[in-house]
Parts: sequence; structure tokens; C-alpha cells
Amino acid sequence: MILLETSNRILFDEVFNFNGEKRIYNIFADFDGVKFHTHTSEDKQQLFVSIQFKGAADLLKNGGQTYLKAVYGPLLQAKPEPGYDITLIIDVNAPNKEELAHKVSQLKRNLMAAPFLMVFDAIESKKATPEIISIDYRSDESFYIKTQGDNVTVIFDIIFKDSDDIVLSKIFLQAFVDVRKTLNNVPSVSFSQKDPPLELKGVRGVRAGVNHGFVSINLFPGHIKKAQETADLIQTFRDYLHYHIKCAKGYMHTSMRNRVDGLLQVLNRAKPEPVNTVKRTFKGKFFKQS
Amino acid sequence: MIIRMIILIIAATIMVHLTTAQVPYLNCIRTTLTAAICLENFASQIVERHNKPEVEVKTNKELLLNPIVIARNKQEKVLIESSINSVRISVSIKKSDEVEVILAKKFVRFLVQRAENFIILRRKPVEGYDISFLVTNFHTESMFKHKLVDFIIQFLEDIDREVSDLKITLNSRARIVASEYLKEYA
Amino acid sequence: MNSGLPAVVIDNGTGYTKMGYAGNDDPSFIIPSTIATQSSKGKQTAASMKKGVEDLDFFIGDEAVANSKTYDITNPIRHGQIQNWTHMEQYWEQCIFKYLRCEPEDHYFLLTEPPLNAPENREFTAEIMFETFNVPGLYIAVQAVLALAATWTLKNADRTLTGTVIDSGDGVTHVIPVAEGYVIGSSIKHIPIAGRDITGFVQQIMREREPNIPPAESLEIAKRVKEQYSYVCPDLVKEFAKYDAEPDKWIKPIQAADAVTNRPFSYDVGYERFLGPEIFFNPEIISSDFLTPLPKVVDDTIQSCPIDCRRGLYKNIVLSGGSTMFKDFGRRLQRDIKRSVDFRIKRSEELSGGKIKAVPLEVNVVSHNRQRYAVWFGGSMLASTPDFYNLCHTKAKYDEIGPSICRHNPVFSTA
Repeated sequence: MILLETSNRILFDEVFNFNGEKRIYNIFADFDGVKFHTHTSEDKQQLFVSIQFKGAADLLKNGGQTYLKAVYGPLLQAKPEPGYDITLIIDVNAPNKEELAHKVSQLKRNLMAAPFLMVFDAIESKKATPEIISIDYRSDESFYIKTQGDNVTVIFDIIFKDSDDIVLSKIFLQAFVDVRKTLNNVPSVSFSQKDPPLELKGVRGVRAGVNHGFVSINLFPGHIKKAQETADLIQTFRDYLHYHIKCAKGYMHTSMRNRVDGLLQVLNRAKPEPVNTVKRTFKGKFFKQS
Repeated sequence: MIIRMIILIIAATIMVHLTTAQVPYLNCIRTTLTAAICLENFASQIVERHNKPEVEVKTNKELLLNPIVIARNKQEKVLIESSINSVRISVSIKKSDEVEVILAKKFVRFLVQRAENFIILRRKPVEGYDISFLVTNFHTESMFKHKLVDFIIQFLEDIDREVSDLKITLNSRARIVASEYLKEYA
Repeated sequence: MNSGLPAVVIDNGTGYTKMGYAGNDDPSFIIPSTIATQSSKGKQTAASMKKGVEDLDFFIGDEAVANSKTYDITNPIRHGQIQNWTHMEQYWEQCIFKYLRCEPEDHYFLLTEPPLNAPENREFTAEIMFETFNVPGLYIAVQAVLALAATWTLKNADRTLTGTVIDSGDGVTHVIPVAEGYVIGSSIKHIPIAGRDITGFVQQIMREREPNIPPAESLEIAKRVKEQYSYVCPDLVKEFAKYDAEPDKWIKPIQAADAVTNRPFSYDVGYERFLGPEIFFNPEIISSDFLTPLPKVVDDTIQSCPIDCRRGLYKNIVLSGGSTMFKDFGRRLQRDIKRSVDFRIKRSEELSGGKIKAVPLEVNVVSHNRQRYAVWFGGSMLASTPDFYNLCHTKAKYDEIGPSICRHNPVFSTA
């Protein structure tokens, strides 16, 4: 698996298998600190799907409300359950379960995609867009969407808790910058450690520090045309980066394990063969060699 | 295909070149170690029925030999401290940038974690070095001396190779990861 | 410290891996503990020989089984213990990022281990979890202890971590005594009879009696018969008599269709309904080298434990694993153990000449409807308590001291 999926498997299974016979009460998570809560109503005829997400307020404000309304229509509740940000209610008799399940399992994706789609749409139809949208979506991390003419720059503020990861992330981010030169029609990437890039000058609430990395991804009109695909990709960037850093560390472990095995063999060669071995004759008797 | 082969040949020559450059350094370590690992059973002079590696406890100056440092450059060096019943070998690994620092650190930690199996590995390196070995007379009594030296030489080669290999794969991996992601946009 | 997000609970068993989030009643996924990696000739090539990300091209669980034609299938876990750490690391990687979809840096983790697991294995697990995945906290629990904790939610259950766990999965059955959260390692007993043997036995009977069943499907049918129709009978001879007296009532005719040719066929489900699970109680039916019935093994296990905890062990015999799910399995087990215990007490009273009167001994076999994934459920419950976050080993501690901190995992308080 190289690219991450956008839909939530647990949510899909839950909606798909919802048949009004079994009581459901589950809490589970998704990337970026998202918490889902699914439960059935008293009569087990309705399934409530709620999402709690730190960035929800910012996202809903910036196109989320309209986009979710368009996608989920009557499923979307005006008033979410207490403690949660968005609630969908699914009826047991809803037709076309599989499609519905797929749609619901994309809830987090759609929520995250909303501001991008809004901005892309505004550029396509030459409408005015807010100059900068900032989404505070993780406990200490944010991303920003900045429009300049018909280009969109998305800036991720990414934190690495582990000091080694900062170094590894540099390799990966540098690769993003370099590889771009060999490919056509791909967004340009730049990154800076510690200090926010110039685009964020004057924006309030930008965090900075040693473990912060700022990645700017510049999207061109070609990408904006393919709004849905681009929105899918761009929102997974942070998790994609983190995922691959972890895979790389896993790979390093594999390689080191093999090396250790090899070295151990060399060391064991230094031990003389045990002399007194019990051997077996072809008749099945044992005898001791001395 | 041809380009690939050329790259491979270049890579191979670089490898050979690297190892040949290392040979005098390793040879020097080999001869020094062969001379240094000349140990005998020696009970403690101070505490009855104690038998400890003198190079560690350092109870008496006359049991210790002068330590030797074999250095290839500022970073790559080996410290060999010998005594009557034990030799301590400490290794400092080449680290040319911060990635190599991390890779070396990770690899060393990984090895020390498995010190149980590497009988002669010291769980803590001597200060200023990355990893240390402690060979006592009990080791030389149960193992072939020349094979032990072989192991240490092999270790020195391997640790350098592992760090540089990892660095190369890490970079190529990052490129693949980056291009796979960016390609999706096109 | 606690980010409000639920902890992740993963129970890696030999056959199946159960995973999900703490606080839920059921695991989100139950998938085979199988990994399908790219066919590699020889084991591993040197790092310099590899150029890409081959190690990301693999599948786990059901997808691994589906891809068995083009990939190498392996089980990283054998007899409950992790054999191949590289595969295990990859397996966890996909559990986390593909199935559970969580950022491991945000969640505490609860993993399980078999009884008598080597402390080194705990260190290796910690190394992977903390260094590769940067988890903020980790707890490694013993499966048997979690199975005991799983019974806490039952009505009138006392919250105790003392009891005997009978864990029967697909490959092997263990009887594990646990006293106050600690496994009595020296008394653990294994029985080489488990789910797979029952399936095989049912398949054999049916093959002999039902010629209609296509050979390709006999294993699947045997599995279905075992899972849907089997139960434990109180008395073998009486049960046979019952079937012979009223065959219409007990023997079930089944209609089915061949999966390949679609030709319909029919077969009867008869004596194997109670004969299958009976091999636990009369192993001589199928085995010639292992002849001790399960109740006897349980009794022996408890008798080999320290004398001061035996009462607690008899009082709380807990079932765990899919092969303990047969109807009336617990009842029969309880009756048989009780019988041998009572006999022993009576005998000692006789020998003492009636001078010593023993306090009656309580034998109690606890059944519940979560036996299939009792271990996971126990983990889910414990990991949702605030206590869990205090007992976890944290990343900060790991970075300071090293993997050795995970050698010991404190016992949960029963209060």
C-alpha cells in the first residue's frame, strides 16, 4: 500500500451491515484525531453517525456546511449530538446500502475536502475567494489555503514529535522538491523548517518552532480543474508523509535485523564445534564420541 | 538498460574503491588486535575469589597497558585498551551528516539491544565512542582468537556499509514515495 | 496525556487477529493473522541491492488469503509467539494505517502476549511500537488475564483476576491458572485437541456416511456443521439412544448446491452434532497418544497449583476462544470437574475416618457470549479505564530508559 485510502473501513462496514436488528454502540477513530461515534436509536431503526474533529468549526465555516449538505442532503442533521460536530442519521430502510455506506464512509474526506473544493470552484467561476483560509485541524498543527490569481498554495504546518523524525522528514521533503523537476504537470513543493514561509506573513496564530515544518504545495490551474481528485490527495499529504516515515523506519529495522543476523553468524564461527557429541548409529542406537 | 549497467559498474567501482581505501586502516586494527588479545587468567589482587576484567576495574596500574588509538580521520577511530586479562575495543563510526548520525545511533542501539547474543559486546560504549567490545580471557579460552579478530573487523566493515546502504535506500525510497504521490496529480 | 481518543487494542492470535478501539463491545476487524509478501527468492538481499519500496507491497488478513496465488503467504505468529518480526512489523503497519486508520502517535496501544512469553519478545515489541510507530503509550497484557477480565461485565460477577482460563482456538487448547493477575507458569497445561481437530473429525464421519457431498466442499461443510449444529451432550450413550428412537427429530436433512457445477445435493447432519465436541471429553475417539479428557486436565492443572489459591481457581473457570462456544460446553465441564472434586473430598473424608469434614468446594465454569474474542473484549474494557493510562509505559520513559521498561507490565487493580 503506497497511497492511503480516503474512506473509513469501519464506518463502511457499520453502515453496510446495519439492518435494524442489532444494537450498535461504537466509538472509533480516523486520521487527524477524528473520532466517530455510531449508535442506533431506541427502536434500532435509525443509525446515528457522529464525527468529532478539532478542525470541524473552521471547515464548516469554509464551505463545509454547503458541501456536506449537497452530498448528504437529508441525512445531515441541523443539530449535531452533544460533544460532536456533525451528525448523520441513516434509516434502516434506506435504499442502495452499498453506495450509501461508501458515501458515509467518506464523511471525513468530504469534510476535509470542502474548503479546497470551495476555493477551486471559486477560481473556476472567477469569483472572489478569501485571501487565506486557515484550518486549525490537529492539536498543534494547521493548514492554510492561499489563493494567488488562478494558483492555490496549500501550506501545511507539520509537527514531528521525535527529533529523529525531523531529520528523516527532511530527506522525504527534499525528495518532494527534487522529484517534481522530473515530472510534468505536478504541483511544485517547497518546505522550510522552523520558520513559516513568506506566504504566511501577517497571518495570525501561526505557530513556529524547531519541530515545526512548513510545506507549501502550489497547485496549478490544471490541478484545480480536477477538483475532486486533487482534494482527495492534498488532504492526505500530512498522513502520507507520516506514514512513509514510519514505513521507512520499519524498513530500517528489517535491514538492521538482517545485518545483526549476519554478524552473529560471524561471531558464532569463532566458537569451536562442540567435540563431545552424541551420535546415532544407523541401527538407531546412540553412542557418545569422546 | 545500458545506462543501468554503467551505473552498476560505477557503483561497483566505488564500492571497491571504498573498501580498498579502508584496507590499510583495517589491517592496522587487525594486527594490533592480534597482538593485544594475549590474555591470561588473572584473579583480583585485592578481593579474594574475585576475577574481574582489569581493564574495567583498573585496580592496579601495572596490570594495564598503554591504550592505543588507531584513527583514520577525525571521526573514524578505534581505541584499544589492553590489560592482563582483558581488552576493551571502542569504535567511533564515520558520520558525515545528520542523517548518518541518526542511522549510526539507531544501528548501535539496535545492536546493544541484542548484546545478550553478542557475548563480547559491551552494553555501554566508552565515553566519546559509539560502541565498545570487551574481550576477556574467558572469551579467548572458549573461542578462536583469530576468528574473534575476524569478527571485529567484519563488524567495522559492516557498520559502515549498513549506514551508507541505509542512507542510499532512504533517499531512493523518499524519491519513490514523493513521485508516487505527485504523479497522482498529473 | 489522554487525548480523548480511544486506545487501540490489538490481539494477535495464532489464527486470527482481533483489532479495534477500546470501549467498544466488539472488535472492528477479525482477520487471519496472515501476511502475503512479494515472492522473494532467498530471504533478504542486502540493502544496496534493493532500489524501491518492495516492502510496501504486501497484504494482510483476508486480502492476503485472496492474493495467495501471486504472493508468498506466511503466518508471522506460531503457537502464539511472534516468529518473524519483520513480517509482524509490516502486519502492524497495515493494521494501523489501512484497517484502523489512525495516527499511532495519537493513540495509546494495548497489545497481547501468550503466557510464558519471553521478556525479550516484549522488548522487541516495544522497540517496534515506540521507534517505528512513535506510540505515546504501550501496555502488553497477558491473554489469559484479559480473558478473566472479560467476565467482569457479567451479572453478579466479582471483579477478580484469579481463575483458570481454558483457551481453545484453532490449533491448540491451553489450561492456564491465573492468581491475582499473575499466570502460574509452571502449572500451565496444553491439550493437542482444538477446533481444527473437531472439524477434521466431523469431516471424516461425514465423508464416510454421506457420499453425496462433493469432496471439494467437505471441509467447508464440516466447518458449518461444527459451527452451527454442534453441541455437547450430557451422556454419550443416552444421546445415541435418543437419536435412534426419534431420528426425525434430531437428524437434520440439509439441501445444498455444488459451488462449481451448481448441482443440488442433500446430506444429513446426525451424530456428529454431539460427537464433534465430545472429543474434548473422550479424546480416545480420535487420538491414540493423548487420552486425558479436558475436565481431568483442568483438575490436574489446579491440583498442581499452590494450595492456597486452588479454591479461587475452581470457583472461576473461564472459557475463551472459538472452540469453547459449543452449547452446554461449560455445563458439562463443570459437572465433570465437580464430580472428580467431590469424589476426592469424599475419599479423604473416608480415609480420615469421618474425623475431618471438608468445607464444600465451589466449582464454577463461566460461559458468556463473547468467548470468541474474550481476550480482545477484556483488553477493550481495561484500556477504556483511566487506570490503563497510568499503567502504560510512555514514550518519554522509553526514550529515557529503553525497551527494558516493557519487560514488566503492572497488573490491573481489581477495585
